Amino acid sequence: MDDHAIDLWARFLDEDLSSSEKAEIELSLCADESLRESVMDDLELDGMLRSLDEIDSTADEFVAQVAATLTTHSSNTEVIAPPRSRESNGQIKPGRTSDSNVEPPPIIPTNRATAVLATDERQRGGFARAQTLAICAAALVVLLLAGTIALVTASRNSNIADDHGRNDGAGSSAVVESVPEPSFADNLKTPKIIEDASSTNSSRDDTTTENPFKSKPVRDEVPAPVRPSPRTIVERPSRDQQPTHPQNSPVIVARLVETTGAVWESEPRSELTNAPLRLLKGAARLLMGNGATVNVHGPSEFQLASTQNVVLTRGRLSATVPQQAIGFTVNTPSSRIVDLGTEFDVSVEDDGATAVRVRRGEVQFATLPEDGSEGEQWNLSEGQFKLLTNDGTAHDWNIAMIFDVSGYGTVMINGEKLYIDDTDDFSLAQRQVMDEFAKSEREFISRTDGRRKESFRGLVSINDRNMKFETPTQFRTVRRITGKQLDRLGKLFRSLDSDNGTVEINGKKWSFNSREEFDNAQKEFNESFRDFFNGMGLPVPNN
Amino acid sequence: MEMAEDTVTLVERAKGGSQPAFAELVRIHQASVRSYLSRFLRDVHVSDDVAQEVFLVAFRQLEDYQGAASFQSWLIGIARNRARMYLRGETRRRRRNQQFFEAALAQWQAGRLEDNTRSEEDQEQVLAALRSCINGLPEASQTVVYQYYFRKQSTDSIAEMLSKRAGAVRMMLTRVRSALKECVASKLNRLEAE
Repeated sequence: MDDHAIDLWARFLDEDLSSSEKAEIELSLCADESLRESVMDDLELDGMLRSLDEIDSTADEFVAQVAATLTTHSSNTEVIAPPRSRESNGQIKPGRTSDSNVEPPPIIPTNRATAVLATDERQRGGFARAQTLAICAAALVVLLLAGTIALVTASRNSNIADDHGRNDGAGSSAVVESVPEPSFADNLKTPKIIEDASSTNSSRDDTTTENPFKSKPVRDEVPAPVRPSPRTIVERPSRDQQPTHPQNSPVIVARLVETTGAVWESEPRSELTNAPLRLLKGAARLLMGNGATVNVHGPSEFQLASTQNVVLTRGRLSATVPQQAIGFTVNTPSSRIVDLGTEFDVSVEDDGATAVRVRRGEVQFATLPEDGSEGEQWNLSEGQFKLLTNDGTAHDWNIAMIFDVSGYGTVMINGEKLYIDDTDDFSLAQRQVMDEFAKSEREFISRTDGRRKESFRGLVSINDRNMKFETPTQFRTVRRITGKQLDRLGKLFRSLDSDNGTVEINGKKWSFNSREEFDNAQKEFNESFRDFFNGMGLPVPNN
Repeated sequence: MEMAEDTVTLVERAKGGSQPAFAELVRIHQASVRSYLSRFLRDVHVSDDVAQEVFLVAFRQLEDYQGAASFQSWLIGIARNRARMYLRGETRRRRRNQQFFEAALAQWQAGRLEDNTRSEEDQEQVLAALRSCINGLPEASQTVVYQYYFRKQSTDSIAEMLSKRAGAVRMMLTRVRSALKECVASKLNRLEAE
């Protein structure tokens, strides 16, 4: 057997093949029928092995899911066990099966004229052979094309490709941007520097001025059109609403129940009024006049506009809203979150990016575009997440990772924040990130499936590098790139951590056994090192 | 066989509208159906989605099952149809996404599904053979199978674990699969001969 073809095949199964290599293996398989047969046997075995663990470990879950669909789609009254599965989205929707046995006739692919053969000889006997002929004739064309395309795209993609290894041009079309998007990035710097960040970073002067609300006047001066909600009174912050002399006319809207390591810009009394508040550090629990509990985490800037409306300008809060307080509303500079009986988290980054995560129940999340135009609106239910970046794009899925060169940093997984303080934390976070991908795959595919066609947008950022996905192919590509990038980062962090290891740059290797050796190597090959760290999206360590 | 007797009773009860009886049938046959589907569709999530559809279709068309063949092979028949439909759609989808090699594979897989001799193998027997073959593997091979297929570790991280290169791990996997293929085939042949 052809060793090269076997090697290509093994790498294909491991999702590690470029498009021109794929064309090459396709051609080998076309040329050699026995090779093709043994490869297809291998593919079947690979497929069976992939599910071998699941068919045991998730047997109960699977039975419960099927049982749940029977309950939903049958008029039978007999009661059966409710589904134990967490993945309600894995269930079959009626629309997906109602057309059970009617399959539209296959469309003849126009881009590969030779494939017409397959439909002509469909009858019997020669079917498989004709198909092979058709596929294989086209493979040659693709191989030739791939060669030229590779040349054309090589120069254009070089800056991305060098960093993402075998991110092939044709098979994967994920949008990979290297344009810095400061969304989570600014706030996600290591926790160690958060305290002094506001005083040292001149680009963020606006947040350090005396009154945080004065520094963001634009939104307040342009009142948004009133969009009445059937269930709630929507209160939008405006200059008029802010009491000019809060001391003279204090409106008590909430009570400070408890604080943990809280440092305020000016310490409030336990009765909280509708004056703006700034929590620099720690956490505070407030009981709103309507019965809702709000936990605010520093650093945050907010204002309790009324007993049922909090305006969060920056920072993070979680709200638990009892039945009688339904309609509790959180406003952020770019959106409005109306509670429909629930627990949810909201965060607003320095650049205005807003993220909402529903822990329980349901919320209504509406955008409030700056120009006053009609925004978008979604009802989010338990476990759902939305991120509204400052360009107005809504994402359903987000992982944002920030690491410095020693592996410190933060990882945000759909609104859940993890702090990375050592290489063990990193490995844990790496596993959680990859688990999140695995967990979301089914939901993603079922939502974007041809018949349901809902959009599902995701954004993954590793330091300043953003990757977006909208299709399953893009999702898989982003997953693969993220996996590889995290593997590489992990390796780097571990070797820097133990002060010995190897750094490989453009095929050249530097081994070091102490921090000095590393520093010396870096001094000597400064440029290469800078490229290397930049390529990883990491700040260059200074020595 | 008392097992078959049991299935017959369950099928009768399910036909009478008993969902618990049908759920029990799902429990008995889920492994074969899911394994059969992932054998041809490869992606566990996709094949599980299709497997759910298979059972839902089976539930709706239960009246059509007259007991001529075993209940399992009736289910596998539905699964085979569904898998073929899925692969046809997948062939088109992949082509549209310019994934020509993947499209070709889907088309070849669909072709193999249409090949009666292969798709009428008893998946339950195939599964049992595969399991016992894995148990008979040398320990190092078992570890790689366990880490890669069960714990879904990447070849890179397995390589790190074993202080090997990723390429070496891939080669190990290829060799293990080819050993398993021979082992399963010989076990099935022996069964047939008996």
